[in-house]
Amino acid sequence: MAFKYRQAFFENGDIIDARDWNRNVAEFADELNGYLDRDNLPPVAFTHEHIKTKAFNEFYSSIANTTAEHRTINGNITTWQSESDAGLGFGALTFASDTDALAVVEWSGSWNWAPTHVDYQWRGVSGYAKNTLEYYVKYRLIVDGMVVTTVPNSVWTRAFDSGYMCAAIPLPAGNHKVDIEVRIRSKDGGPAYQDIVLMERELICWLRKR
Amino acid sequence: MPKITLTEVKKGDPLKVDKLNSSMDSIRTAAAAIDADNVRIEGVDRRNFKATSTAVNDVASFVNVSSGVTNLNVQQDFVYNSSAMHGHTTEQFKHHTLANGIIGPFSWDASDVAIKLNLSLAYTVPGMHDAHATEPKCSVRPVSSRPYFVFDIRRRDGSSGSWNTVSGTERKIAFNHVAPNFADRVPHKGSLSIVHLVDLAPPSSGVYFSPFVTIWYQRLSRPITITGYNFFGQRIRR
Repeated sequence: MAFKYRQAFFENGDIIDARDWNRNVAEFADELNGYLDRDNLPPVAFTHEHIKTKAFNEFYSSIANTTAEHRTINGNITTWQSESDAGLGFGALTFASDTDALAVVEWSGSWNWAPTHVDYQWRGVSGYAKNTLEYYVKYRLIVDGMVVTTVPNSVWTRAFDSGYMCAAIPLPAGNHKVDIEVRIRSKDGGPAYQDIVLMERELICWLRKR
Repeated sequence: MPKITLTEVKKGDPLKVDKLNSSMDSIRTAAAAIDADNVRIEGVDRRNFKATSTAVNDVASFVNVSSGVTNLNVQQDFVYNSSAMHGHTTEQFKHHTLANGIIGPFSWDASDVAIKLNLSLAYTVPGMHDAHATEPKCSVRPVSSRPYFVFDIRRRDGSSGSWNTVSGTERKIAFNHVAPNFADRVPHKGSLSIVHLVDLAPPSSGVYFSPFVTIWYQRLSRPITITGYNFFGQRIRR
C-alpha cells in the first residue's frame, strides 16, 4: 500500500546505525518489488490501453455463411448426430484456455426440411403419409462431452425455422471442445424419413476470465 | 519485473558515496520501468480502472435517445407489410417513435477482443391458404401462398448510406400449415434470436447495425407482426 512508515528517523547529530539505514531503504524497495496495489495507484488511473489484449475476455467463433457450409442431416437416423450425412461437422470449436474461466456459449442457426417434391414435402392428397406423420428436429449444445442445453422440438410444419441456445459453464485451464448435435425423429421415436438442411448458423464461446 | 537490488550498508563499513549511489540507481532504474509484476497479485480493483476499459454496451437506438434503458421494444408491436405481390419487400426494424432501431456508432481497433450482437424477438405471421389454384401451397417460389420471411442484421458505415447484410446472420421462417381458403387461415407465432460476432478486420469507426426483415412471395395479406424485440451490442475491449 502507498503509505509506508519510515522505520527510523534520524536527527541532527545522530550516529546512524547501518541497520536503520538499510531498513528505511528496504521498506520502499520491498514495496516496488512486487507489492504495489490499488492504494499505490490513483482512481481511474488505467484505461483499456494499459490492459493486455484478452486479459479478461477471449472469444472463439465458428460461422457458416456460405452455401458450401450448409449441412444435410439424415432423417432416417434417429440418434443424435454430430456430423452431416456426408460426414462433415457442424462447426465445432476447439481451443486451449490458459486459465480457468466461465464459458458463455451461444448458438443460433437456421434450417429447413429438405424438399423431396417439387411442392416441398407436403402434398394436398388425402391420406398422403407425410401429411399425417409428425416429426421433429431437436438441437443440443455440447461442451467437453457434456450436454449443457437443448432447444425444444421444432416440428416439420415449420418448414424453415431457427433456434437459439445459450449456456454458461465453468471450465478449467486446458483443451476444450464446443459443438452442437442434432436429432430428427418422428412423434413415435421412429425415423422421420425427411432430411434437415442446416443453413446459416454461428457458434460462439466467450471465455470470461475475470 | 524490474527489481530493486539494495547494496546494504554494514556496521563498521566506511559509508562511501558509491555504495549509496548504487542503491539509489537501482531504485531509479526500477521505478522507471515498473510493470505488472511489480503489482501484487489481485492487488488492483475496479476503482483503478476508467469506465469502459473492458467493455462498451449499446442497446437499441441508444445513440438517438437519452436513456438506453427505457427504450427497448418490449411493449410495442410493429407490423411490417409487403406491397410486392409475389415479390418481396425488405423492411428495416422500427423503434418506437423513432425512425429505425439502430445501435451504434461502434468503433474498434486491432487490439479489441470482440463486438457481439444479440437480437431477440417474437413474431406473428399469417398462414397459407388453398384458394388459388395458381399458388402452390408449400413452395418457396414467386407464386406461393406460403408465408416466407428472412431476418438478418445489416451494417452501415457512417451516419448515412446503404445498409449491407452481415453475412451469416440470415434466419428464415416459413410454414406448411394450409387452410382451405383465405378466410380460414390461422396465424403462426414463434420467436427468433440471432447472435453474431462482428468481423473486427479492419479497424473501423462510425459503424451502425440494425435488424431487417424481408417478406417474400404471397399473393395476399403479407404482414408480419413483431411483438417485441431487444437488440444490443457489446464491444469487448480486453
